Amino acid sequence: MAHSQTKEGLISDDAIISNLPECIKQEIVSYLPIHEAVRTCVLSKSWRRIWTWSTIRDLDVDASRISSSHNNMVSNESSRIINFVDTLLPCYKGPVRKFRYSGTEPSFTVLQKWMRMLSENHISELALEIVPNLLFVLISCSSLFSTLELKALVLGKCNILLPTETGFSGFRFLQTLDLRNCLVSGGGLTELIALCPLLRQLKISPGSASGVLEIHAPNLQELMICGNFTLVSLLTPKLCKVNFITSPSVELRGDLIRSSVTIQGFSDVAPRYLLEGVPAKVQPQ
Amino acid sequence: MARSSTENMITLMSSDGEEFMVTEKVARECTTIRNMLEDDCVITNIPLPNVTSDILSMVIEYCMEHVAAAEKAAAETAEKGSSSAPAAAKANKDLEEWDKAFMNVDVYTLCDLILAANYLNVSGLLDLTIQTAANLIKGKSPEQIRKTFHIQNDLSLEEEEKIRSQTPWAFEKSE
Repeated sequence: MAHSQTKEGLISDDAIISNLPECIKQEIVSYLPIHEAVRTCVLSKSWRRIWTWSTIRDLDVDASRISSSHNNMVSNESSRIINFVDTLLPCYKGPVRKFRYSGTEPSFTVLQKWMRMLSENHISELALEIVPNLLFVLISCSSLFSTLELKALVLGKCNILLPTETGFSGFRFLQTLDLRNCLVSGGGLTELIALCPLLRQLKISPGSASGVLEIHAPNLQELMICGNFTLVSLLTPKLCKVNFITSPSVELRGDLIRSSVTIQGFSDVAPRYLLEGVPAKVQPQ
Repeated sequence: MARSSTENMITLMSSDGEEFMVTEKVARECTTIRNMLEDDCVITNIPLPNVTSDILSMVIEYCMEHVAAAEKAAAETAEKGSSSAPAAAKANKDLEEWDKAFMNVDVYTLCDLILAANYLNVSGLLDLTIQTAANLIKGKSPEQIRKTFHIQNDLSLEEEEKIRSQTPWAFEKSE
């Protein structure tokens, strides 16, 4: 590589890594953890803004391990972490593939601001786990999600209420929905699933919902349900894998002929029954 | 497909005029060359004015190793009807080890390899070299990174302070 002329003057081949094309430097920085990626900004003038165009593969903001022994420190630490996200995202112009947040509840305004910024970064996977549990009213505000083109959504310990406004067009691109210990009614869950036309994988973990659940998902292939339902009815023509952990008194309806069904938990139901596609009543032990 | 003795040979010419004869299959590992061959199938001599002979010979070495590994895996699959998982895992691991040893180069060679892999569009080699460069940066302070890659710091102290103060959290830990 010969000497090259730049506006800063003659750069010797000593600084060969700085002379790599910008897109390659951005690629290199994309492999670094976020703090180290940002630190490359002080290497030299040509590195100043490289990180802002790199790809964040996985931005994991974990505030859940903050020690709760000292209340004052907790709030300081969590505000420090919130401040980190607040100063990071506005500078960031590259794509964020995945954003995970777990920890104490940021205010709704903060969360809304993050979602707005992430939508500009074309985020495709979002995972939110909020502690203290069950305090958060989430989807009720459609404005929080309406701009995101998410392919995967993981919600933990969230209280899910569906949007009441008519403007919410649903999660048009969502393929994976994973609800962990969320609070949502069976009816709410039915509605939520109907808002995700491309859904292929659905996981509902303990405590997430109860009551009557109707799953109408034309593209659903994989279903894992763990919950206290009385009736689960499936309208899922492409379903091929079902994993079911449920209470003894549940009734399961739907055509499961093409599916492999695993049933675990507190019931001694005969899977054969279900495979025949006959409405089945799970017998108590 | 059986390997015939009449397999097409392609001559690649480096910027310093050295010629390298390779099989078409090896040359096709470079997407840039594959596109040229698809546009004009009688082409047999390709000048590469952006790649020096020492770097080109390394790129060819990489492509040959990866073609050979893929051929071996395909032959085993054809022989047994299906490839056995442990054998495939071992072959993968061997190739990874080979890649790792191949990346034992100085930073100048590494950067030249990145440029060549980018120009010739050898995606496997580009990922490997970029990942290697990132590993050389990982865990180091800005000063150590500058030293590793011989980067001249052209920022004044005041400028550097100002930049650091914009994202203070990035400089808090592990420096």
